[in-house]
Amino acid sequence: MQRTSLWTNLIRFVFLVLLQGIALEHVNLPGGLHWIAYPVFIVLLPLQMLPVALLVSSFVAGACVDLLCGIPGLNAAAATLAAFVRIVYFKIRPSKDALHDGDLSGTPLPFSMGWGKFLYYSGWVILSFHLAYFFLESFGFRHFFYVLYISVGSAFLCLVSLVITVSFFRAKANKR
Amino acid sequence: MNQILQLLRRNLYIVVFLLLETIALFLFFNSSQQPSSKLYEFCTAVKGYFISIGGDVRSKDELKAENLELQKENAWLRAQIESSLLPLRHGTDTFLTDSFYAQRYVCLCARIVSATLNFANNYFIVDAGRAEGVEAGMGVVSPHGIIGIVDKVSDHFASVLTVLHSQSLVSVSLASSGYSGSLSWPGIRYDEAVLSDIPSHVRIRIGEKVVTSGFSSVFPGGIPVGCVEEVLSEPGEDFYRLKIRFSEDYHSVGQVYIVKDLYKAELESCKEHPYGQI
Repeated sequence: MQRTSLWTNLIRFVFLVLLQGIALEHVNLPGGLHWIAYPVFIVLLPLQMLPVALLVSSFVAGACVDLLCGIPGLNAAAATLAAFVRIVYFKIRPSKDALHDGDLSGTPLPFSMGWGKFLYYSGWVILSFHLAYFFLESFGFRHFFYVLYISVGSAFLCLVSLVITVSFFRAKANKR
Repeated sequence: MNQILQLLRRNLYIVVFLLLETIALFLFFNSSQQPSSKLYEFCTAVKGYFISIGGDVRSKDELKAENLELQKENAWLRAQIESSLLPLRHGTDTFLTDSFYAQRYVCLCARIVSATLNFANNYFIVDAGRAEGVEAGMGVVSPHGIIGIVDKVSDHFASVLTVLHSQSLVSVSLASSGYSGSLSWPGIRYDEAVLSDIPSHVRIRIGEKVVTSGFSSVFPGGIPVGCVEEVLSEPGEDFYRLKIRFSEDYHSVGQVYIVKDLYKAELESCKEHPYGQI
């Protein structure tokens, strides 16, 4: 991993974890939806990253949010699962080879993957995170359809956050 | 052996995934309440500090001082009402019809600086802590209803296990008949709860007020909780299950009072019994 990529990811990690723990955690949206933005960090981790490193960094990100939110293990479990889904996704669909890394050190971005593929990939990762998070949080399948609705709705919000973040990247890349 | 090692190396990420997931789930299921570590207490304090800065920026200065004064006055008035007093009928040889009263409950003022409403287990953080005399187990009420019970306390902040928590159980009673039952939160809606254990021979009226029973040292009796909205139990069951609509809107609550029972230690000592707690 290049040095710049390491710093970019580190800054993204700190920013998203603090944003989640201090601000977004206290935003009560209508319809019981929950805005969880930090899975964006997992989606945008470099493709060259070793699977073990990917799992550990996702676990650490989740654990940090857990510490700030006071729910130990919940975010860590969901984030680790999302990282695992990401690893499996790229093992099944090795679109990795088709990517050109360029300046961005292998960050999966729509400009290298195409918007359709990128949203499909991030959709899987984000949805798996939200499903794990909300079903674990509700301690079972008692309110299955309600939890499913919250998971899908909140995953959509997260996807919106991702698109905003990625657009910011594009603006930065264009400047360069 | 070599093949096994190679297989393991190739699938190391699966082993790491299972290991990390086990750690996370272990943490989660072993602390479905809240972590009791010093680290968490520290985090609560740091988070509370950040959030209170945000809250300070939002609140208008001139109204803030006025609100604080009014809240203090309310706390004093709350301490004067009969449910906050302990009747003293002893100490004289004759029975007195006009009983003496001792102060039993006092109220501490606090402001909610952080709240969650979307979880199955919701907590509030208030800007009063050990320095203000807050202790774990104290009740928290608002002008329109009950909020919950103090769970963890740092020097200047405290987290409150709200009634919107899957493990919250509050003793409440029907205002008109006085029959008491247990109030729990089934999840989903933050404005509804379930009252159970009310005997089926009691006549229930829709819209009837539900208040705290005063059977514990957490809440004084008679504090409004909500009103009966619907009877959930089927005919023929021994006990009613009633849907209650909370009188407090937890979305907009800001100022709260932390209730301190001055006789808690004495009451707890009476509950100790050689065969366990009464």
